Amino acid sequence: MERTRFIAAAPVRSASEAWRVVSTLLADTLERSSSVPTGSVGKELAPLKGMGPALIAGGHLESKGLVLVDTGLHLTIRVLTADAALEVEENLNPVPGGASATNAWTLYLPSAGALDNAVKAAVKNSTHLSTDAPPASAPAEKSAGASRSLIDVNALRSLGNKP
Amino acid sequence: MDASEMIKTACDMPDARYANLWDSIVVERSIKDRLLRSAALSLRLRAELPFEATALHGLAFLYGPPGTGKTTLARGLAHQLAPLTTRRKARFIEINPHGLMSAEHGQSQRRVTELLTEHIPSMVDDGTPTVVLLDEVESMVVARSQASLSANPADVHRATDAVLTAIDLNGSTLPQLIFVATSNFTGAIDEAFLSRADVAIHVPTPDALGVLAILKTTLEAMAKAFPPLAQLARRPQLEQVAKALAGLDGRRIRKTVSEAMLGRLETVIQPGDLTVEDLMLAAGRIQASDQTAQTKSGGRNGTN
Repeated sequence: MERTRFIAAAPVRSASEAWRVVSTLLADTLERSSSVPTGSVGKELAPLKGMGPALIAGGHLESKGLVLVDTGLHLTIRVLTADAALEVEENLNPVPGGASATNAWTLYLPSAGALDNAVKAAVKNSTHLSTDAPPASAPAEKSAGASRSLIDVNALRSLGNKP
Repeated sequence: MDASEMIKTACDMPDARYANLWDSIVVERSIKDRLLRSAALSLRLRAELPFEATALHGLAFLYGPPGTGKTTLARGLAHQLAPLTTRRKARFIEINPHGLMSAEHGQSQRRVTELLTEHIPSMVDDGTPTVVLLDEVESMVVARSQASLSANPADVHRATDAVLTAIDLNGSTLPQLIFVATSNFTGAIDEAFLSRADVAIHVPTPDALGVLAILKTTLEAMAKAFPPLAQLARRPQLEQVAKALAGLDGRRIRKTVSEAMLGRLETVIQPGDLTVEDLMLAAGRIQASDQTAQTKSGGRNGTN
Protein backbone atom coordinates (compact mmCIF):
# COMPACT_ATOMS: atom_id res chain seq x y z
CA MET A 1 0.00 0.00 0.00
CA GLU A 2 1.22 3.49 -0.81
CA ARG A 3 1.46 5.80 2.17
CA THR A 4 2.59 9.37 2.67
CA ARG A 5 3.90 11.00 5.81
CA PHE A 6 4.38 14.71 6.27
CA ILE A 7 7.09 16.25 8.45
CA ALA A 8 7.20 19.90 9.48
CA ALA A 9 10.43 21.85 8.99
CA ALA A 10 10.88 25.65 9.35
CA PRO A 11 9.43 27.45 11.18
CA VAL A 12 8.37 24.48 13.35
CA ARG A 13 11.86 23.01 13.52
CA SER A 14 15.20 23.56 11.82
CA ALA A 15 16.24 21.60 8.73
CA SER A 16 18.72 19.58 10.81
CA GLU A 17 16.07 18.70 13.35
CA ALA A 18 13.62 17.81 10.59
CA TRP A 19 16.20 15.50 9.03
CA ARG A 20 16.68 13.82 12.41
CA VAL A 21 12.91 13.26 12.56
CA VAL A 22 12.97 11.75 9.06
CA SER A 23 15.89 9.49 9.95
CA THR A 24 14.21 8.35 13.15
CA LEU A 25 10.96 7.59 11.32
CA LEU A 26 12.85 5.50 8.75
CA ALA A 27 14.79 3.63 11.43
CA ASP A 28 11.72 3.06 13.63
CA THR A 29 9.83 1.70 10.64
CA LEU A 30 12.45 -0.57 9.11
CA GLU A 31 14.15 -1.80 12.27
CA ARG A 32 10.93 -3.36 13.51
CA SER A 33 11.80 -6.08 11.04
CA SER A 34 14.07 -8.90 12.15
CA SER A 35 15.74 -8.64 8.72
CA VAL A 36 16.94 -5.09 9.37
CA PRO A 37 19.47 -4.95 12.23
CA THR A 38 19.08 -2.29 14.90
CA GLY A 39 21.22 0.73 14.11
CA SER A 40 21.77 -0.29 10.49
CA VAL A 41 19.39 2.30 9.03
CA GLY A 42 21.22 5.16 10.71
CA LYS A 43 24.52 3.87 9.30
CA GLU A 44 23.05 3.64 5.81
CA LEU A 45 21.73 7.19 6.05
CA ALA A 46 25.10 8.54 7.24
CA PRO A 47 26.17 9.70 3.75
CA LEU A 48 23.21 12.09 3.83
CA LYS A 49 24.09 13.60 7.19
CA GLY A 50 24.93 16.95 5.62
CA MET A 51 22.93 16.57 2.43
CA GLY A 52 19.59 15.72 4.07
CA PRO A 53 19.24 19.06 5.91
CA ALA A 54 20.38 20.84 2.74
CA LEU A 55 17.64 19.15 0.71
CA ILE A 56 15.07 20.19 3.31
CA ALA A 57 16.33 23.76 3.57
CA GLY A 58 16.20 24.04 -0.22
CA GLY A 59 12.59 22.83 -0.29
CA HIS A 60 13.51 19.79 -2.40
CA LEU A 61 11.49 17.39 -0.24
CA GLU A 62 8.30 19.46 -0.30
CA SER A 63 6.55 18.22 -3.42
CA LYS A 64 8.14 14.92 -4.44
CA GLY A 65 9.75 13.87 -1.20
CA LEU A 66 11.79 10.85 -0.27
CA VAL A 67 10.38 7.48 -1.28
CA LEU A 68 11.10 4.36 0.72
CA VAL A 69 10.41 1.16 -1.19
CA ASP A 70 10.55 -2.45 -0.10
CA THR A 71 8.40 -5.53 -0.45
CA GLY A 72 4.90 -4.44 0.45
CA LEU A 73 6.11 -0.97 1.47
CA HIS A 74 5.90 2.26 -0.52
CA LEU A 75 6.30 5.32 1.67
CA THR A 76 6.65 8.91 0.55
CA ILE A 77 8.03 11.35 3.12
CA ARG A 78 7.44 14.99 2.34
CA VAL A 79 9.03 17.70 4.46
CA LEU A 80 7.00 20.90 4.51
CA THR A 81 7.98 24.45 5.31
CA ALA A 82 6.30 27.83 5.87
CA ASP A 83 2.48 27.84 6.24
CA ALA A 84 2.21 24.19 5.28
CA ALA A 85 4.56 23.25 8.12
CA LEU A 86 2.38 25.10 10.60
CA GLU A 87 -0.77 23.33 9.46
CA VAL A 88 0.47 19.77 9.00
CA GLU A 89 -0.55 17.06 11.47
CA GLU A 90 2.41 14.76 11.81
CA ASN A 91 2.19 11.04 12.34
CA LEU A 92 5.60 9.92 13.53
CA ASN A 93 4.58 6.36 14.43
CA PRO A 94 6.34 3.54 12.58
CA VAL A 95 4.77 2.98 9.19
CA PRO A 96 2.69 -0.20 8.73
CA GLY A 97 4.55 -2.75 6.64
CA GLY A 98 7.91 -2.02 8.24
CA ALA A 99 7.86 -5.11 10.43
CA SER A 100 8.10 -7.32 7.37
CA ALA A 101 10.75 -5.22 5.59
CA THR A 102 13.68 -6.97 3.96
CA ASN A 103 17.27 -5.86 3.97
CA ALA A 104 16.81 -4.84 0.34
CA TRP A 105 14.97 -1.63 1.18
CA THR A 106 15.79 1.42 -0.94
CA LEU A 107 15.38 5.11 -0.22
CA TYR A 108 14.92 7.13 -3.40
CA LEU A 109 15.92 10.80 -3.35
CA PRO A 110 14.28 13.33 -5.66
CA SER A 111 16.16 15.50 -8.11
CA ALA A 112 17.58 18.51 -6.30
CA GLY A 113 18.57 21.05 -8.91
CA ALA A 114 21.94 22.48 -8.13
CA LEU A 115 22.49 19.86 -5.42
CA ASP A 116 22.01 16.95 -7.83
CA ASN A 117 25.66 16.17 -8.37
CA ALA A 118 26.44 16.43 -4.67
CA VAL A 119 23.58 14.08 -3.82
CA LYS A 120 24.64 11.55 -6.45
CA ALA A 121 28.21 11.65 -5.14
CA ALA A 122 26.99 11.13 -1.58
CA VAL A 123 24.95 8.02 -2.39
CA LYS A 124 27.05 6.44 -5.12
CA ASN A 125 28.53 3.75 -2.86
CA SER A 126 25.33 2.98 -1.04
CA THR A 127 23.24 -0.11 -1.69
CA HIS A 128 20.18 1.41 0.02
CA LEU A 129 20.17 4.98 -1.34
CA SER A 130 19.33 5.88 -4.91
CA THR A 131 18.77 8.91 -7.08
CA ASP A 132 16.87 6.88 -9.69
CA ALA A 133 13.16 7.46 -10.16
CA PRO A 134 11.28 5.36 -7.60
CA PRO A 135 8.99 2.55 -8.77
CA ALA A 136 5.33 3.52 -8.89
CA SER A 137 4.38 0.80 -6.43
CA ALA A 138 5.94 -1.60 -3.98
CA PRO A 139 7.20 -4.97 -5.22
CA ALA A 140 4.57 -7.61 -4.55
CA GLU A 141 4.93 -9.76 -1.51
CA LYS A 142 5.72 -13.42 -2.02
CA SER A 143 2.60 -15.39 -2.77
CA ALA A 144 0.71 -16.52 0.25
CA GLY A 145 1.17 -20.13 1.17
CA ALA A 146 1.73 -22.60 3.90
CA SER A 147 4.65 -20.61 5.27
CA ARG A 148 2.22 -17.85 6.23
CA SER A 149 -0.36 -20.09 7.84
CA LEU A 150 -1.86 -18.44 10.86
CA ILE A 151 -3.93 -21.36 12.11
CA ASP A 152 -2.62 -24.68 13.40
CA VAL A 153 -4.86 -27.27 11.80
CA ASN A 154 -4.07 -29.88 14.45
CA ALA A 155 -5.05 -27.46 17.19
CA LEU A 156 -8.22 -26.76 15.27
CA ARG A 157 -9.01 -30.48 15.20
CA SER A 158 -8.86 -30.51 18.98
CA LEU A 159 -11.93 -28.29 19.03
CA GLY A 160 -13.93 -31.27 17.88
CA ASN A 161 -12.91 -33.18 21.01
CA LYS A 162 -14.16 -30.57 23.43
CA PRO A 163 -17.39 -31.43 25.25
CA MET B 1 -5.19 12.86 18.21
CA ASP B 2 -3.28 10.38 20.32
CA ALA B 3 -3.94 6.73 19.54
CA SER B 4 -4.45 6.06 23.24
CA GLU B 5 -7.66 8.11 23.13
CA MET B 6 -9.03 5.92 20.35
CA ILE B 7 -7.88 2.57 21.71
CA LYS B 8 -9.42 1.40 24.95
CA THR B 9 -7.48 -1.85 25.33
CA ALA B 10 -4.57 -3.57 23.61
CA CYS B 11 -3.16 -6.77 25.07
CA ASP B 12 -1.58 -10.05 24.09
CA MET B 13 -3.34 -13.37 24.58
CA PRO B 14 -3.49 -15.71 26.32
CA ASP B 15 -4.13 -13.42 29.26
CA ALA B 16 -5.44 -14.67 32.60
CA ARG B 17 -7.75 -11.66 32.88
CA TYR B 18 -9.63 -12.82 29.81
CA ALA B 19 -9.55 -16.56 30.51
CA ASN B 20 -13.01 -16.86 32.03
CA LEU B 21 -14.94 -14.39 29.90
CA TRP B 22 -15.91 -16.87 27.21
CA ASP B 23 -17.24 -19.47 29.64
CA SER B 24 -18.98 -16.87 31.77
CA ILE B 25 -21.47 -16.14 29.01
CA VAL B 26 -24.35 -18.59 28.92
CA VAL B 27 -25.58 -18.88 25.34
CA GLU B 28 -26.34 -21.74 23.00
CA ARG B 29 -23.19 -23.66 22.20
CA SER B 30 -23.75 -23.04 18.50
CA ILE B 31 -23.28 -19.28 18.96
CA LYS B 32 -19.82 -19.66 20.44
CA ASP B 33 -18.94 -22.36 17.92
CA ARG B 34 -19.90 -20.17 14.97
CA LEU B 35 -17.96 -17.19 16.26
CA LEU B 36 -14.79 -19.13 17.00
CA ARG B 37 -14.97 -21.15 13.78
CA SER B 38 -15.59 -18.08 11.67
CA ALA B 39 -12.54 -16.36 13.17
CA ALA B 40 -10.34 -19.43 12.68
CA LEU B 41 -11.60 -19.99 9.15
CA SER B 42 -11.08 -16.35 8.24
CA LEU B 43 -7.47 -16.47 9.45
CA ARG B 44 -6.91 -19.78 7.68
CA LEU B 45 -8.36 -18.82 4.30
CA ARG B 46 -7.25 -15.20 4.09
CA ALA B 47 -3.63 -16.07 4.92
CA GLU B 48 -3.45 -18.50 2.05
CA LEU B 49 -5.73 -17.05 -0.61
CA PRO B 50 -6.22 -13.62 -2.12
CA PHE B 51 -9.32 -11.57 -1.34
CA GLU B 52 -10.63 -12.20 -4.85
CA ALA B 53 -10.87 -15.90 -4.02
CA THR B 54 -12.30 -15.73 -0.51
CA ALA B 55 -14.38 -12.50 -0.54
CA LEU B 56 -13.76 -12.49 3.21
CA HIS B 57 -13.37 -9.12 4.94
CA GLY B 58 -12.42 -10.51 8.35
CA LEU B 59 -15.53 -9.02 9.93
CA ALA B 60 -17.87 -10.80 12.33
CA PHE B 61 -21.03 -9.07 13.51
CA LEU B 62 -22.79 -9.88 16.78
CA TYR B 63 -26.23 -8.43 17.30
CA GLY B 64 -29.06 -8.79 19.76
CA PRO B 65 -30.66 -7.17 22.81
CA PRO B 66 -28.49 -5.40 25.38
CA GLY B 67 -27.01 -7.49 28.16
CA THR B 68 -26.83 -10.77 26.27
CA GLY B 69 -23.04 -11.07 26.33
CA LYS B 70 -22.05 -9.89 22.83
CA THR B 71 -19.24 -7.67 24.04
CA THR B 72 -17.98 -10.24 26.54
CA LEU B 73 -17.91 -12.94 23.86
CA ALA B 74 -15.95 -10.64 21.57
CA ARG B 75 -13.53 -9.85 24.39
CA GLY B 76 -13.06 -13.54 25.10
CA LEU B 77 -12.60 -14.55 21.46
CA ALA B 78 -8.90 -13.66 21.16
CA HIS B 79 -8.12 -15.76 24.24
CA GLN B 80 -9.93 -18.73 22.69
CA LEU B 81 -8.20 -18.17 19.38
CA ALA B 82 -4.66 -17.98 20.74
CA PRO B 83 -4.10 -21.75 21.23
CA LEU B 84 -5.38 -22.40 17.69
CA THR B 85 -2.79 -20.20 16.02
CA THR B 86 0.58 -21.35 14.78
CA ARG B 87 2.24 -18.83 17.11
CA ARG B 88 0.07 -19.88 20.06
CA LYS B 89 -0.69 -16.25 20.69
CA ALA B 90 -3.14 -13.62 19.59
CA ARG B 91 -3.80 -9.99 20.32
CA PHE B 92 -6.92 -8.16 21.44
CA ILE B 93 -7.60 -4.50 20.68
CA GLU B 94 -10.74 -2.67 21.77
CA ILE B 95 -11.65 0.57 20.06
CA ASN B 96 -13.18 3.42 21.98
CA PRO B 97 -15.94 4.47 19.54
CA HIS B 98 -16.64 7.65 21.45
CA GLY B 99 -13.03 8.72 21.07
CA LEU B 100 -13.46 8.64 17.29
CA MET B 101 -16.49 10.81 16.79
CA SER B 102 -16.07 14.55 16.86
CA ALA B 103 -18.33 17.52 16.33
CA GLU B 104 -15.47 19.31 14.63
CA HIS B 105 -15.78 19.33 10.86
CA GLY B 106 -13.86 16.53 9.14
CA GLN B 107 -12.41 15.19 12.38
CA SER B 108 -14.48 12.00 12.65
CA GLN B 109 -13.46 10.85 9.20
CA ARG B 110 -9.82 11.75 9.81
CA ARG B 111 -9.72 9.92 13.12
CA VAL B 112 -11.39 6.80 11.72
CA THR B 113 -9.01 6.73 8.78
CA GLU B 114 -5.98 7.33 10.97
CA LEU B 115 -7.00 4.64 13.42
CA LEU B 116 -8.02 1.95 10.96
CA THR B 117 -5.42 2.50 8.24
CA GLU B 118 -2.43 3.64 10.30
CA HIS B 119 -2.55 2.75 14.00
CA ILE B 120 -4.22 -0.65 13.79
CA PRO B 121 -2.14 -1.86 10.79
CA SER B 122 0.98 -0.71 12.60
CA MET B 123 -0.01 -2.63 15.72
CA VAL B 124 -0.59 -5.86 13.77
CA ASP B 125 2.49 -5.41 11.60
CA ASP B 126 4.24 -8.29 13.36
CA GLY B 127 1.71 -10.72 11.86
CA THR B 128 0.15 -11.77 15.17
CA PRO B 129 -3.52 -12.78 14.69
CA THR B 130 -5.49 -9.91 16.17
CA VAL B 131 -9.12 -9.42 17.13
CA VAL B 132 -10.30 -5.81 17.05
CA LEU B 133 -13.55 -5.09 18.88
CA LEU B 134 -15.79 -2.39 17.45
CA ASP B 135 -18.33 -2.21 20.27
CA GLU B 136 -21.58 -0.33 19.70
CA VAL B 137 -20.59 -0.05 16.07
CA GLU B 138 -23.76 1.90 15.19
CA SER B 139 -21.98 5.02 16.40
CA MET B 140 -19.31 4.53 13.74
CA VAL B 141 -21.29 3.28 10.76
CA VAL B 142 -24.51 5.23 10.68
CA ALA B 143 -26.99 3.90 8.10
CA ARG B 144 -26.64 6.48 5.33
CA SER B 145 -29.93 5.47 3.73
CA GLN B 146 -31.88 6.36 6.89
CA ALA B 147 -29.89 9.33 8.06
CA SER B 148 -30.89 12.82 7.05
CA LEU B 149 -28.21 15.30 6.20
CA SER B 150 -29.86 17.84 8.47
CA ALA B 151 -29.85 15.60 11.51
CA ASN B 152 -26.64 13.78 10.63
CA PRO B 153 -23.99 16.13 9.31
CA ALA B 154 -22.02 15.13 6.26
CA ASP B 155 -19.13 14.41 8.59
CA VAL B 156 -20.97 11.38 9.97
CA HIS B 157 -21.56 10.08 6.44
CA ARG B 158 -17.91 10.52 5.61
CA ALA B 159 -16.94 8.65 8.78
CA THR B 160 -19.08 5.72 7.60
CA ASP B 161 -17.33 5.86 4.23
CA ALA B 162 -13.98 5.86 5.98
CA VAL B 163 -14.84 2.75 7.99
CA LEU B 164 -15.99 0.91 4.86
CA THR B 165 -12.86 1.87 2.95
CA ALA B 166 -10.66 0.74 5.83
CA ILE B 167 -12.52 -2.58 6.19
CA ASP B 168 -12.01 -3.22 2.47
CA LEU B 169 -8.34 -2.32 2.60
CA ASN B 170 -7.51 -4.24 5.75
CA GLY B 171 -9.59 -7.21 4.65
CA SER B 172 -7.47 -7.66 1.56
CA THR B 173 -4.04 -6.73 2.92
CA LEU B 174 -3.97 -7.83 6.57
CA PRO B 175 -5.12 -11.45 6.85
CA GLN B 176 -4.07 -11.55 10.50
CA LEU B 177 -6.70 -8.94 11.38
CA ILE B 178 -10.28 -9.75 12.42
CA PHE B 179 -12.88 -7.20 13.35
CA VAL B 180 -15.74 -8.16 15.65
CA ALA B 181 -18.52 -5.58 15.65
CA THR B 182 -21.39 -5.57 18.14
CA SER B 183 -24.68 -3.70 18.15
CA ASN B 184 -28.13 -3.56 19.71
CA PHE B 185 -29.42 -1.48 16.81
CA THR B 186 -29.05 -3.32 13.52
CA GLY B 187 -31.47 -0.94 11.81
CA ALA B 188 -29.19 1.99 12.51
CA ILE B 189 -26.17 0.38 10.85
CA ASP B 190 -25.16 1.07 7.29
CA GLU B 191 -26.22 -1.69 4.88
CA ALA B 192 -22.85 -1.69 3.15
CA PHE B 193 -21.17 -2.43 6.47
CA LEU B 194 -23.56 -5.30 7.20
CA SER B 195 -22.98 -6.76 3.73
CA ARG B 196 -19.25 -6.88 4.46
CA ALA B 197 -19.74 -9.06 7.53
CA ASP B 198 -18.47 -12.59 6.89
CA VAL B 199 -20.80 -13.85 9.59
CA ALA B 200 -23.72 -12.22 11.41
CA ILE B 201 -24.63 -13.93 14.65
CA HIS B 202 -27.75 -13.21 16.67
CA VAL B 203 -27.19 -13.38 20.42
CA PRO B 204 -30.67 -13.69 21.95
CA THR B 205 -31.94 -13.45 25.50
CA PRO B 206 -31.52 -16.81 27.24
CA ASP B 207 -34.21 -19.48 27.31
CA ALA B 208 -35.43 -21.01 30.61
CA LEU B 209 -32.48 -23.39 30.85
CA GLY B 210 -30.13 -20.52 30.07
CA VAL B 211 -31.67 -18.37 32.80
CA LEU B 212 -31.26 -21.20 35.29
CA ALA B 213 -27.63 -21.71 34.27
CA ILE B 214 -26.90 -17.99 34.66
CA LEU B 215 -28.49 -17.94 38.12
CA LYS B 216 -26.49 -20.96 39.19
CA THR B 217 -23.17 -19.67 37.89
CA THR B 218 -23.77 -16.30 39.55
CA LEU B 219 -24.54 -17.91 42.90
CA GLU B 220 -21.60 -20.29 42.58
CA ALA B 221 -19.25 -17.43 41.80
CA MET B 222 -20.47 -15.54 44.87
CA ALA B 223 -20.19 -18.69 46.97
CA LYS B 224 -16.41 -18.27 46.89
CA ALA B 225 -16.90 -15.45 49.40
CA PHE B 226 -20.19 -16.64 50.93
CA PRO B 227 -20.15 -20.48 50.91
CA PRO B 228 -23.85 -21.06 51.81
CA LEU B 229 -24.77 -19.69 48.38
CA ALA B 230 -23.35 -22.88 46.82
CA GLN B 231 -26.20 -24.82 48.48
CA LEU B 232 -28.72 -22.29 47.24
CA ALA B 233 -27.36 -22.78 43.71
CA ARG B 234 -28.34 -26.46 43.97
CA ARG B 235 -31.91 -25.89 45.16
CA PRO B 236 -34.47 -27.30 42.67
CA GLN B 237 -36.78 -24.35 43.43
CA LEU B 238 -34.40 -22.17 41.44
CA GLU B 239 -36.27 -23.39 38.36
CA GLN B 240 -39.27 -21.38 39.53
CA VAL B 241 -37.10 -18.29 39.87
CA ALA B 242 -35.76 -18.95 36.38
CA LYS B 243 -39.30 -19.11 35.00
CA ALA B 244 -40.12 -15.82 36.68
CA LEU B 245 -37.10 -14.24 35.01
CA ALA B 246 -37.92 -15.49 31.51
CA GLY B 247 -37.36 -12.87 28.84
CA LEU B 248 -34.70 -10.93 30.71
CA ASP B 249 -31.17 -10.57 29.39
CA GLY B 250 -28.17 -12.18 31.06
CA ARG B 251 -27.01 -8.98 32.71
CA ARG B 252 -30.38 -8.43 34.40
CA ILE B 253 -30.54 -12.05 35.47
CA ARG B 254 -27.16 -11.78 37.18
CA LYS B 255 -28.23 -8.60 38.90
CA THR B 256 -31.29 -10.42 40.28
CA VAL B 257 -29.02 -12.00 42.88
CA SER B 258 -27.79 -8.67 44.25
CA GLU B 259 -31.31 -7.27 43.92
CA ALA B 260 -32.49 -10.14 46.11
CA MET B 261 -29.77 -9.45 48.67
CA LEU B 262 -30.74 -5.83 49.08
CA GLY B 263 -34.34 -6.85 49.80
CA ARG B 264 -33.48 -7.48 53.45
CA LEU B 265 -30.93 -5.82 55.72
CA GLU B 266 -29.98 -9.30 57.02
CA THR B 267 -28.83 -10.40 53.58
CA VAL B 268 -26.92 -7.17 53.05
CA ILE B 269 -25.06 -7.94 56.28
CA GLN B 270 -24.77 -11.66 55.54
CA PRO B 271 -25.32 -12.37 51.79
CA GLY B 272 -24.91 -16.09 52.42
CA ASP B 273 -28.34 -16.11 54.12
CA LEU B 274 -30.07 -15.49 50.80
CA THR B 275 -33.10 -17.73 50.14
CA VAL B 276 -35.17 -18.83 47.15
CA GLU B 277 -37.95 -16.63 48.49
CA ASP B 278 -35.65 -13.60 48.36
CA LEU B 279 -34.87 -14.43 44.75
CA MET B 280 -38.55 -14.85 43.84
CA LEU B 281 -39.41 -11.47 45.37
CA ALA B 282 -36.52 -9.84 43.52
CA ALA B 283 -37.63 -11.45 40.24
CA GLY B 284 -41.07 -9.96 40.76
CA ARG B 285 -39.62 -6.52 41.44
CA ILE B 286 -37.39 -6.65 38.36
CA GLN B 287 -40.20 -7.81 36.06
CA ALA B 288 -42.51 -5.10 37.41
CA SER B 289 -39.81 -2.47 36.96
CA ASP B 290 -39.17 -3.67 33.38
CA GLN B 291 -42.87 -3.51 32.53
CA THR B 292 -43.06 0.03 33.86
CA ALA B 293 -40.01 1.05 31.84
CA GLN B 294 -41.45 -0.55 28.69
CA THR B 295 -44.76 1.20 29.17
CA LYS B 296 -43.01 4.56 29.53
CA SER B 297 -40.88 3.96 26.42
CA GLY B 298 -43.85 2.78 24.38
CA GLY B 299 -42.49 -0.76 24.25
CA ARG B 300 -39.62 0.16 21.99
CA ASN B 301 -36.98 -2.44 21.40
CA GLY B 302 -33.56 -1.48 20.09
CA THR B 303 -33.02 -4.61 18.04
CA ASN B 304 -34.66 -4.70 14.67
